[in-house]
Amino acid sequence: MDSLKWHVQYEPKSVREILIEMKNTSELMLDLAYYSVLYNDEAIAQEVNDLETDIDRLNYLLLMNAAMAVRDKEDAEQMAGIMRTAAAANKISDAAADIAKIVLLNLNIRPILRRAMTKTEEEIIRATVRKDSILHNKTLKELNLSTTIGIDVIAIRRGFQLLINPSSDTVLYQKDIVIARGSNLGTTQFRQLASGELKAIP
Amino acid sequence: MVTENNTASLYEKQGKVEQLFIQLKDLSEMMINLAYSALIYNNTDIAEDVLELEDYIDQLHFRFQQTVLKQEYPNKPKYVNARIGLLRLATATEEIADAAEQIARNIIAGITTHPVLQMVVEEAEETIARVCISPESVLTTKTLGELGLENNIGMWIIAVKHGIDWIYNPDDEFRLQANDIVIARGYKEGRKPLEELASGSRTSI
Repeated sequence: MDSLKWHVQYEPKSVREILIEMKNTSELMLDLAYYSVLYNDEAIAQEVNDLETDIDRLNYLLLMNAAMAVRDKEDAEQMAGIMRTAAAANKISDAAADIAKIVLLNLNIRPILRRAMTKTEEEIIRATVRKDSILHNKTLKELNLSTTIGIDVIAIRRGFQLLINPSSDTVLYQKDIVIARGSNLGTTQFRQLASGELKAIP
Repeated sequence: MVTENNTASLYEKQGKVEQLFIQLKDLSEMMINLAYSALIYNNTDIAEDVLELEDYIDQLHFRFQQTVLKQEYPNKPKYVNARIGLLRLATATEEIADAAEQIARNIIAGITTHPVLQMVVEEAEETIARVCISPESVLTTKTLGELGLENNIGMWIIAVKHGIDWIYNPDDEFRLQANDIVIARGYKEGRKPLEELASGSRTSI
């Protein structure tokens, strides 16, 4: 397997940047993992698996850079906290990969998860952008959906392309399948915006 | 292949499995947020809450496993697979709770938070607040529905600690009492108003 062959070499990088990436990626993975079970989406489940390998690599890189940065007793004590927090982010990514594996092993638990997920605090949904939707041809920055309706776009499926964690410059187009998370109200509004039923952002 | 309708009918009566899972999912995610807050505020109380919640998740997880395994499903492979899937899902939420505990343990162990950690957590837009309701607080006078904290200050109450009990995801009818500990989630701007409302230094929402 390819994943067994990778090796990590030291490269200088800030511990802060690595940890931010680990924290954000692990949280994103969790959303994607739940989504993959909810929609039986094997491609996304596979993506979660790949991200898990990225996190392992980052964790090594963090340990190497942390080791280089320690100069005295105080550094060592504080760095221990950072290393443990990185290990925790790594553990979260492992949990996400375990959830995604449910899809890859074809253990069908969709029906129960579907109903349960409508009652959780935050929902993860997908919606297709229709041609008369106001979302069409706008960047995520312009739409500013996290502030206005409280949803976060976590991935976009465009034909065979899969954009994970799209940047704010990403433009939405018709036919895009958008995967988003947010409160029940927000996700409902988002569905209506994508379908074209709702003509303006509330 | 398991078809959706088959498994749906199987779970028709499984409200319990669902409810337990919702709690496992929401609580495990809340714990992560709490653990990070414990780090940036160097707050032992929050860290201890996380450890306590970890115990609670363990109990929930056990009950979830029991409920899934106790059901008298027809002895068919597809049900076996669904059961394995559910058990794996719950185990993952428990792993997440363990990760949260691991973060919180830093504080209990007396490790001073590296400034880098604070920067990392503060990148996030959302925040978790933990406040104690004082007897003078205006928050004790109305139900949560009437207070409407979500709309007014952008903070959602996700858990309340009342004595030794945890009330999780309280509904609109819920009434806070003096000395309750409230854990709320929301945007950074909502933290201060919530703290002032809880202490009684502010009386209008």
